[in-house]
Amino acid sequence: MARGDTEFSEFAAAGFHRLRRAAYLLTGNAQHAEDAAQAALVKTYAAWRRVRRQDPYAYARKVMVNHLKDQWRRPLREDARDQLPERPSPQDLAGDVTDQRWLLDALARLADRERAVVVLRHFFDLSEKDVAAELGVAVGTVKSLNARALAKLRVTLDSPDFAANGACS
Amino acid sequence: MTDLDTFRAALQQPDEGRPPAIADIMRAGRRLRRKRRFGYGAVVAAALVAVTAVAWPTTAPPATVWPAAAVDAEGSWGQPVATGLRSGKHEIVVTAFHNVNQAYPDITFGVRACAADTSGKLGPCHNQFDDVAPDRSPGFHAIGLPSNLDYVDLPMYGYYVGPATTITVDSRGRTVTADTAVWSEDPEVVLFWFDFKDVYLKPDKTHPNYKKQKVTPGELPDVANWSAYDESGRKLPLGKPFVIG
Repeated sequence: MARGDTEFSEFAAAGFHRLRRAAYLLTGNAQHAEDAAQAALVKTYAAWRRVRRQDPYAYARKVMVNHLKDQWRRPLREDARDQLPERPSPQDLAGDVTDQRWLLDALARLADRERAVVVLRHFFDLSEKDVAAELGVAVGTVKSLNARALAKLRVTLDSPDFAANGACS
Repeated sequence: MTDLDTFRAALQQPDEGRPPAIADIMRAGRRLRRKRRFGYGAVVAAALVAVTAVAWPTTAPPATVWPAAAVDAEGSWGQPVATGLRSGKHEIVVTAFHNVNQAYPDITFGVRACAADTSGKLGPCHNQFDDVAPDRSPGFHAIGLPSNLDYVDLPMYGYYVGPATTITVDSRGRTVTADTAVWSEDPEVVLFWFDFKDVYLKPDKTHPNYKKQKVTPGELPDVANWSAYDESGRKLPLGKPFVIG
């Protein structure tokens, strides 16, 4: 196996699970997540000579997010609901951290861009600036999407790390 | 309510799925690499064969510049251009944005299609940038499929570097011409977009999601033979016309 292929194999083995987990959080569908993570690695391998000396994981992540953004197309209109639900959810995440079904249900209530911001910001731990670059939007947009998403998820904004970034405003 | 750390911990649950099929991934990656190279070569060859026989398409009418004073172009770089396309009550405009990403040091900008409301405020915007060639290398760049973002239909659009006045592509068996406008920040960069009736998605109406009015898989636009011509009808370089998505 060529040296580049060995490097890619090691990279893919190390990064695949995290990519798939992120895709699962973004889609809520295990099969779509598997497909998206694999598609990202396929495109990353196709560009491996160019990206191996840069940041291949960032490249794979971007390809995957772009791949999923493409699924955001809605040929038919849906009923847009940007409002908080009338009543608070009876179940709270703090009471059942391991309940992944609740987590996915909660994420499913977010708009696509809100969900992407949440995953990039809080799963990949990217800065707001990096999230903005990744999604091609302004930093202010990331802040507002993030704040709105967390409000919908009923996540409190009192984390020192979070507050330090000014997203609470 | 849930604190942020607890929420983050919930996100970070380990993935317990099967390992990646690395051999299959590498095989598909090699195919994709070959396809990109072959596709580019085939298009160039076809262009060389056709260059003496083709009748030049008529030049598209100049696009209208969107009134700058009326536009809140947050996140944009340069003057938004009205495409003449509408989606619901929105006018669709195209412009560009700064791209700051360490992974792409030679890609300093991308292009965006935005919905503009009656007050001139832009949003939502669909952004895309090239990742196969430096941003100002001659030829096509950052071509995106038609899409729907936050309930706004957006066209197939992208940009071309060079003196292109006419851009065409074969879509579902016929040659269609894009509308074009020179980017306000660089006269070498030509923004282009296609009318919805020329390049479009075909949703799969048999899919269960169609009746539920949810995201419906469908047939992607069938586009090929990208071509660009200058004012005198001379064929211009293609670059790497890779469609994103």
